[in-house]
Amino acid sequence: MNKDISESAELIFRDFDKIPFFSIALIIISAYLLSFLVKRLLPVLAEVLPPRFRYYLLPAGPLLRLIIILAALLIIVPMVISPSLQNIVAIFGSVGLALGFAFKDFASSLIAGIIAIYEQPYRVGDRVTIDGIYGEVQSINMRSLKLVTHDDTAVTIPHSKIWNGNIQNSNDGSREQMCIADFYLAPDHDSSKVRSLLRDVALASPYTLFRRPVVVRVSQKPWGTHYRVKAYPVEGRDEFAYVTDLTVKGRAALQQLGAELVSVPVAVKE
Amino acid sequence: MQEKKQEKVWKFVSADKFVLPDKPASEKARSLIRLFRDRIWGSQENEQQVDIQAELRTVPQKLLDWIAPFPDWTEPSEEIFSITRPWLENQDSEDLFRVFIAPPGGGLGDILAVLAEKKGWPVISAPDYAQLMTRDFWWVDKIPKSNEVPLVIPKLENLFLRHYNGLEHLRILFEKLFYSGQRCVIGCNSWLWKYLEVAMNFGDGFSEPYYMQSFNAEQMQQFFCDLEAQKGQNTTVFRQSDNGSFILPFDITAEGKLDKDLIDEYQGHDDDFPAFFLKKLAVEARGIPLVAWAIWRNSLKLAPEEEVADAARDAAVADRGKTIWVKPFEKIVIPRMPANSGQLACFLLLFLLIHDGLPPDVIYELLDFEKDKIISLLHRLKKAGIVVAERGLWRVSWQGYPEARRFLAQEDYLLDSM
Repeated sequence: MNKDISESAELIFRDFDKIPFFSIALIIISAYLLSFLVKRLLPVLAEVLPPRFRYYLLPAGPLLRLIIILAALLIIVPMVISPSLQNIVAIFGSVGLALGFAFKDFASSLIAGIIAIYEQPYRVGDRVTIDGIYGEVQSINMRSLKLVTHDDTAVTIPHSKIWNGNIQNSNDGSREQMCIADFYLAPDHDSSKVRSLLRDVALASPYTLFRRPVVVRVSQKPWGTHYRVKAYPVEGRDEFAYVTDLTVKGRAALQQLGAELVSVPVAVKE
Repeated sequence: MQEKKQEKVWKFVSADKFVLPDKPASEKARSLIRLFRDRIWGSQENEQQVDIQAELRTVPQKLLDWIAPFPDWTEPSEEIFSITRPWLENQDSEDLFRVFIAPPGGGLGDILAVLAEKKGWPVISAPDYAQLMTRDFWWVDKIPKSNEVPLVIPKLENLFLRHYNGLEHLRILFEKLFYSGQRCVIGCNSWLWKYLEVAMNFGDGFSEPYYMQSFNAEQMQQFFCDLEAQKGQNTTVFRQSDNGSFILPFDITAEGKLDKDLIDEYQGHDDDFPAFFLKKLAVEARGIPLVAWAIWRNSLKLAPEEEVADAARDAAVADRGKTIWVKPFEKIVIPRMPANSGQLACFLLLFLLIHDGLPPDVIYELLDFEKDKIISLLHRLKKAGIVVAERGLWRVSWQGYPEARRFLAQEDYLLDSM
């Protein structure tokens, strides 16, 4: 029996002295270096080139690294095994089986990562909500992606979330991102003046993108009149800074106009 | 002497006729290479800062003002008057406004002020900045009434602030002018006009504005010859310091004032004008007169003569007027944006350009960033020659304007249309 196994192994693998270990090491090191360079250089290049290139360059990173790894594997495997169909099926079958049992979740995330690169439910630079966590996708690795939330917390999420969870993508690869600032006012005010003033708040903001419209929507709620200022910043990633700017200036403008801002009363426990 | 037909220097044209000076293909490639180099390795900020500061300090201001005097605005103001005259004479015209647009450094505010003074047209004076940030619009009611002659707004940017209350001031002003049927000649900088078009749909209510045509190399040459003419008999000879070639055609600037032999010697060199220097200057300055004038002043070698080539010095022995050496264009230190300038720099430059200068307190109020960051950025940009502080206002320097515009274009921010 043992003899059969050792004979099969001998059939699959090349003779030990015929395996070019030096070349294999060279290929692994080159692939690692290339992958490292892609990982490091693309974000730098995306920062130094005009912002419009950012949304093309950053998502290309994971794909390039996957191509580098696959290319390295395709070169190395025939160097180690005798390149017949039977041998290749046997090797990949064994590896698949081992991964399936020992690293089920890991393998699931890896495969989801490949699917994610192809389907692109998120790209580097997108702003997404996964499992209730909202943030900007900073990097996509083989197993997981890294989000940075608005309070600058980095969150690592495995790709396997795409199998059974919802992924909400706010900008879906585009640079533009609609932002909304909310204001609640006591009913006694001149609505048309408030609308015009809130529109001017957005038009005067340094962040505002003028290719897209600035819209102010009004609705009546039991506790007051709800104003929603909808506008786009030049850079989608300035979302939080932009909403802050609109909110701070909008409140100041409304107070100057004499409009009364309302808030829900705080319940006091006796 | 061969009769030369002089091209009109100052022109105001419709948007579709506005053109920038031709950029040589080699210049396009060079600017692309420079852009890539600066992006990857950062600009050579520190070296340049030292150069700009040191060179400007060495030149006595009075001497510089004599050699390269400030332009006289009589001719362009007459050109504007000739454009407005048919409109003024037609009492039935329903057009209430004539809008003239120029980029920063076009001198439009001064031109219109000269026109108003000469013709006795009343000028709408600007309220102070603090008032433009309130909802107190009384200044609009104080606008003088003038049925016989038009009102003049030399700089619309002085009546506006990009502030949530500032926009309303402009609306109320134009509402009043519309309903009063008052005619008005308006000067507006190209950045503010673009902002008003995209943010407030301003263009729709006006007849087609007139854009100050950029100077091509020929017009640039004539512009500098006119500056020479302002000096009267005490002419100057401008020669390039590396090869001694003339920058301005001496038969225009120095006729009757230089040795006849010298003029005769160069009669066959008409094809050399406009000089290559002026062609490059027109492109770099985007054909804007005061931008070109500022770069020109920076190109004059007034203090050290050690860099003047021997051949050039020998050629200048025969000059009767004072010889002023001009650096080859490549040697002129043009301000460059400091490395890693970031988003705040975009906001700051855009606001300074739209308002054609702002006092520091108003900048803090409008941008609403940390004061320390703004102060530090202003000083970095000043050191790099991009902005200047003048009469209590920070503004984009004329010399730094082309670079500031390039920077905003690279960062995809709002740009003027000139």
